[in-house]
Amino acid sequence: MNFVERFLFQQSDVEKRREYFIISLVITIIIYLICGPYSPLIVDVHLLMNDRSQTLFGFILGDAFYYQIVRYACVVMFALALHKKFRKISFSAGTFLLFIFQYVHYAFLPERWNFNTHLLIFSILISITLYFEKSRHRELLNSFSISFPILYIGTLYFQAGLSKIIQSGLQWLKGDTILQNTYFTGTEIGRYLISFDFVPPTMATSTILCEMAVLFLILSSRYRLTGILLILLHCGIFVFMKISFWNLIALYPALFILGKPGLEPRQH
Amino acid sequence: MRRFLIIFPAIFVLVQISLTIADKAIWPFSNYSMFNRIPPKKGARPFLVLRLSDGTTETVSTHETLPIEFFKTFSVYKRIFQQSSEDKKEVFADWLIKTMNEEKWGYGDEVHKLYNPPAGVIVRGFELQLMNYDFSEWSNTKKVLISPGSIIYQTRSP
Repeated sequence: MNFVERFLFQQSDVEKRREYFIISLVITIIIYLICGPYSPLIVDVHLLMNDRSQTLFGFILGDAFYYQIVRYACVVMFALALHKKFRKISFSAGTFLLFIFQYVHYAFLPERWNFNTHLLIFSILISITLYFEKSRHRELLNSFSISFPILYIGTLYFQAGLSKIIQSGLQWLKGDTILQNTYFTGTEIGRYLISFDFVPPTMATSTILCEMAVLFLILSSRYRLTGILLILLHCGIFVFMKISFWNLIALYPALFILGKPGLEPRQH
Repeated sequence: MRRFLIIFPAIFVLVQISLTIADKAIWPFSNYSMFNRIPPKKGARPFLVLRLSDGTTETVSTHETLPIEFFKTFSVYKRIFQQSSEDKKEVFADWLIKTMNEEKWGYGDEVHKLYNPPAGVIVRGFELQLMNYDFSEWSNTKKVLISPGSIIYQTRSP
């Protein structure tokens, strides 16, 4: 079995880690739908921004009532999915509603920034694997439902680092982006810290190093180290720029820390 | 099945990285281009200068005014105040003032609390204004020069 197959199909302690992952994903989605950036704002203002409803599911934008029905039906479906008895059906229904919901929000403002689709992609993945639970592919899929999100997260950070280097080059390491964003919209502590000249370049350099290193740490199976490093990175970003990324961090204990994260030992 | 589960993530990763290189996003794929550009040392940022009923003004970031992800707020303002008709601008401005006065929203996203006027005071109008900033003296003085720039939109005086 080659390296790729081992990474994808031989995740260790799969049953337990998968259950932790499903529970943390469900709770994250529920909190995100209730407290996150989803509000009937788009019902109120979409016609001022767009000449007509430009979404496939435009009816949701027609009335705040429909909008809230879809939003809270999605919450209820995911809440039911916490119970194993209802999981298969309710997780799929919740994923379908989340798809509609996220699509409508994207179509409302189709900008380059859609940084929360990992929740939808992971939900689709879990929904599919739930339907194969009794098939002969069960073991492969259980491992894949852990390894794919891990690979996705490694790629995500690699993309974030790569994007900075492509768009701004090594000049980004001087820290001007962190300096200005902290100054205008960051925390009080962050504003105090950026007054030390060495802080913005140090933060910028450590950010890019962390981002580029994550994929390699993951592929070398250093999961706990990766999880702790990423949580610290995000704490640092929050202290400066008041950006939480909590909907990513909430998944890290299940993927990187709890259970016995890593790969099954090689069989000789 | 095994082969599919190897090919699928490979294609997925390839698409994601290609989008990063092209600096584009095709929903639900993302380029994850967070804070990838360096803002100029001298530039302009949008703010709302709110006119309050007690005669004072308050300057708030656009982040603090709409209940969506903070990094999308200025895009909403741009779409409405730079592309919509005068009627739509007015409807939106009235709506915005009303939501601020009614304290309709608590948090913009999970982190950013939205602006509400102090007790006993209401927002009467606002100017959407670019504020010029200058970081060129930052390394010596740790101060940023900020001065009013062009006004994108202003509500009628009450």
